[in-house]
Amino acid sequence: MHLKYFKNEILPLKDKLFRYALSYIKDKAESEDIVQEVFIRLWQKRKSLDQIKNIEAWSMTITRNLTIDKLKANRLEFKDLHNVEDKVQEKYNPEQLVEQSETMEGIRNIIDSLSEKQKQVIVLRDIEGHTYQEIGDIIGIDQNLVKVTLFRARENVRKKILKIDQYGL
Amino acid sequence: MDYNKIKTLLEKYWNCETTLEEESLLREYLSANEIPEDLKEISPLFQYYKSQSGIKVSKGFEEKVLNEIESKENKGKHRYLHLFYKVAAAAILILFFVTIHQRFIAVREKATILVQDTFDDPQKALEETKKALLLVSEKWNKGKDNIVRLSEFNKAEKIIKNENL
Repeated sequence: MHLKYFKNEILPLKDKLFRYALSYIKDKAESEDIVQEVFIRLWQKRKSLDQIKNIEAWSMTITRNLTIDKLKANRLEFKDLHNVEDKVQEKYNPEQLVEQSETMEGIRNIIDSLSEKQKQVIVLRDIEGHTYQEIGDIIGIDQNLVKVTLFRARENVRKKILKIDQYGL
Repeated sequence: MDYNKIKTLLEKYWNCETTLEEESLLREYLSANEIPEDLKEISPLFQYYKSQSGIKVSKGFEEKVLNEIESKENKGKHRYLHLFYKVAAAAILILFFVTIHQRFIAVREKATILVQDTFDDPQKALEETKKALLLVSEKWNKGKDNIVRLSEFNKAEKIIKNENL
């Protein structure tokens, strides 16, 4: 891989990778550091990149792994995506979420209140526009499970926004 | 876009039956300013998705990454340069010791040549040895005569000293 290819094909992924790291880590500077590390690793492995089918998905996976490592290093609370049950996190008060749903901040809180797996799937699909197959490759789960998780995630979001649970509609 | 089409797409969306293109259409439509009343409740979700997809790294990030890569590459090059110097120094040292060794061998060979036998025939060697010994003895005798003369001088000196006493 030449520098020109790296600049034209790999570096433009920067914003996508950054948003993905940011969705986990919530800190812009740390997220940028992670993305920079991803690019350095990609550059160092440039000779073997031809063997990778989907560089974008592969870059996302590296970003995810580095972000998880960072979270572990920071000893922040992190639930492993492979073994979490689809439970809604308790740190957000459901009533507050319903009240805020009309604002962007409210939506953010609703998304953040999803389980880590649901949140990742919704971020990768609805914000980043990945296929089920790509999401499965990035997170390391079967694409059917991706679809099931996305369905539950969207349902949770919809219920919170439309106040279905709140008023028993 | 047709309102009914949006309603249908939205239902498909909740059931995860939309394609990526249809989801993109929904995002664009529901992020717009004029949205039908009954869709206003759900529109912030799509506005949020749209706003999130526009988040970018800070300015100068690409340059930072490229500089970092360049500096790592240079470090690698320096490492090779250091290796080159080390190899060159080792080669010079080896060359130095090999030269010294060869010189040493050459000197030793020369010395060996100097002390080599010159005669193959023992009879000839004996004659030559006799010649050499005769020469030595002849010189020795010459020296001995001088010593006899000197000893006479000594005797004379002693006699004169005794007379004076």
